[in-house]
This record gives sequence, structure tokens and C-alpha cells, in this order.
Amino acid sequence: MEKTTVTIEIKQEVSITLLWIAAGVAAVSLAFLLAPHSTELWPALNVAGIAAAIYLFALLLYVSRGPLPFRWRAIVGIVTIVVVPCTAFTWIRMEDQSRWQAAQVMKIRAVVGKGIRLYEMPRPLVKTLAAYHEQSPGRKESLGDVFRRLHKGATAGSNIYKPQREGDTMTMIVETLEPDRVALVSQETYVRGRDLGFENYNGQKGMVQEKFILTERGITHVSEN
Amino acid sequence: MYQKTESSEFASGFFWQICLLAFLAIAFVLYFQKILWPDDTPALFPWVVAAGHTIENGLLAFGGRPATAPGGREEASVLFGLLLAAVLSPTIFLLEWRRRRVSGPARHERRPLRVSGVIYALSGVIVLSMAVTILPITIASESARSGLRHSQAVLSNRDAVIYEMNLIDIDLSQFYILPKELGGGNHSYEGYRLPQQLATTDDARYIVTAENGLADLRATSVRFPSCWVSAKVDSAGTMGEWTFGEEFQ
Repeated sequence: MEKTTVTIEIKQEVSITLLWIAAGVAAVSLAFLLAPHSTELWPALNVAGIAAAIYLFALLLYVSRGPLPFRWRAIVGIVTIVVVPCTAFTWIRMEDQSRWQAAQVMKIRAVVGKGIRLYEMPRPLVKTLAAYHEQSPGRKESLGDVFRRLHKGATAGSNIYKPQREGDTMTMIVETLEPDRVALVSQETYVRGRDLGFENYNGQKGMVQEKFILTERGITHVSEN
Repeated sequence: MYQKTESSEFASGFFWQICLLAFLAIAFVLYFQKILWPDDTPALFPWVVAAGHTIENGLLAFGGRPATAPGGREEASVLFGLLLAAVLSPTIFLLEWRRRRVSGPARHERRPLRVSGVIYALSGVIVLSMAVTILPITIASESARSGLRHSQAVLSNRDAVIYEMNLIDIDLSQFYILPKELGGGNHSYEGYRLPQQLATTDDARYIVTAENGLADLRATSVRFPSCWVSAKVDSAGTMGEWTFGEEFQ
């Protein structure tokens, strides 16, 4: 059987180009794939970016070596000094900005949640306070009795919030129901508050929690977390 | 057996194979630009894709859903963009550019429309477009960033002021309800005095002007002193006629 051999000739500069590309693709891809992966792209992208920066630095050194005329070396150097820091700066700022925006979204969520609670929670207490003080002096129900009359079936630990729409998961729990004191508490289940160690009413830790306390003298608001 | 070629760059056959490969690579780039970045995210700036994923996770958290790991397509688009911008284009362009400067034929001796020349030109377009646009992009993104932060600071302050005005509304309501012997207005806002802890906060200063069954509430921002909010509270404790001034609008 006759053996045939095929030889491919490539000019030296083409083979050097292919070698550079192969080395660069391998270095950047490996850095990207071996970097710790999480729910974000940044860790892998940053490691790959550092690998790409080292590669580019080596490539620029190789390209600007002699006998390239000094004028061209200076141009390569100046362009590098402008482009590389600008790219790194934009990259880093973009990461910072995207994290800030994601955090901002949760801050907005916390503000929305607190606003809804501030609107919803005092209403039953204001009604109770008004009904309590509108009673004739001869017949005085306690605050607790008035609250129970206005919210049938309410006991300590019960949720008196009526969902406003489908998927409305807010709760308004009667924390205390005593003759002279009614306290309502409401918390978020996934929005973190100021203190991550704060123990919430339902046993979770660190979530936003608001409380309103009604006494004969009025309503007190406590932003617990 | 092997054939020698007269081509100055490649052996016979290989030249057209590598040309075809290069064209396919360019077509691949252009095609995948549409597939991988359907929303026109620039391929040469992979950090934009990463930023998009971070913000998507923020929106998921807003709805109480857990963050998701990037999909294979997202990872591929980021890696491909980085390879295109930082490895393929600069390597082809810079090495060929150097060769032409150091030992290439004179400009009038070059053969027009050679495929290797086209690849060199395309790589040059990518590298130079990045080099030329990165400075304006940096300046524009810094400007947008500071604008966004300022807008968000104003909105956060406005939200805080509205929140605190609602607290004042609750205080007004209970004053209206409580009898005079318990420090209330007995169905009137007259005589209402804003508690010190509600009158001045880190976010705003508040003034309440009360008549019988109507109270005017005005807040002036501490953080943005030209900004203000005003509202009226009726006898039922309902706030209305909200007016927002300056950047609060």
C-alpha cells in the first residue's frame, strides 16, 4: 500500500500569529472556566480579564520590540496608556454600578414595603382609638374589647390583614391584645433591614419589621428593623 | 508527496482553507452577535453582559426569587466577546501591522483585496473602534453614573419625606381623635404642635399649619434644600393635594 504524505507550509509569521492566538485563547478560556463560578458572571469574567490583560501586555511588548521604529513604538505606548486604563476603569465601574443598581432595587423594595405598612397598619388602630374615645362616659369598653369588636375573631397571634390582590402575602399580626394595649407587627420575609441579627416575629433573622402600639393616649410607631 | 506553491504565504489548498475559515469566523461573529446579543449588547464589551446579569438578579430578589446562575449562552457570549476583543483581533492586527512596518512590501507593491488583507482590515476595525470609542464611553458612562446616583438620591430623599409625612399624618389623626384632657384636639386640629422628633429629621424639616378640620403640611428637604413637598390632611386623616417642588417633581 502506497503511503502518501501531505505537507503544509506556512510562513513563519502566520505560524507565530496562530501560536499567539492559540496561547491567548487557551489562557483566557482556562482562566474563565477555572475561576470560581457563582450566580454572577463577574468572578469568572474578572479572572479572564486579568489573564487577557497579561496576554495583551506580553503581545504589546512583543509587537513593539526592535527593529520597529521608535515613532511607532511611541504611538503603541501612548495608545496603550490611554486605552488599557480606560478599559479597566470602565470595566470596574460597570461592576460597581451594576451591584449598586441591584442593591438599589432592594432598597426600593424595602421602601415600598415600609410605605405599605405605614399606610395599612395604623388604619385599624386609628379606627379603634376613635371608637374607644367616642364611647359615652357611662359605658366604657376597653381598647382590647373595641379592637375585638371591630375585628371579629382577632386574638393575639392572629393575622388581621385582608389581601388586596392575588399574591399579596403581607401579614399584620396582632402581637399583643390586652385591655389597655394593642400591638400590631408586620414583617417582610425576604427584605433585609438595618440589623441582620434582629430576630423577627416569625423566627427569621434580619428582615424588615414594623410595629404599631395602640394605647388610650394614642399610637406609637416603632420601626424595629 | 507534496506540492510547493508560488504563493508567498501558504501552501496550495491551505490558503483557501484558511481563508474560508476566516470568513466563517467573521460570519460566525456577525451571526452570533445577533443570536448571543439579541438586545444589541455590544460584543466587544463583555462587562455589559455581566452587569446585565447582576441587575437581573437584583430584579429577581425584588420579587423574592433566588438569584440564578448565568446560563451557558450568557457565559459563552461573555467569553467569546472577551476573546474577540482582547485576543483574536489585537493579535491578528498588531502582528500583521508590525510585519508591514518592519518588513512588509511597500504600499504600491501590495496586492489589492487579498483575503489576509481583509482579515487584517477587519481586525484593525475592531481594535481601532475599541481604542477610539473607549475614552468617550468612559466619559459618557461616568456622566450617566453620576446622573443616575444623583437622581436616585433625590428619589430616595423624596420617598423618605413622604414616609415621614405619613408618620405626621398618623400623629395628626390621633391628635384629632383624642380628648383635650389627653392632650388631643377633641375633633379639631387646632392647637396641634408637631413633636420635635417629627419636626426635624435627617431628611427634611416639616411645618404643620392647622385649622379646625384641615391641616397643611409642608416639608423642605435637608439634603436638597430647594426641594419641597406639601399636602393637606382632612378631618378623616386622609392626605391629599400632594404638590412636589423642584427636583421632587
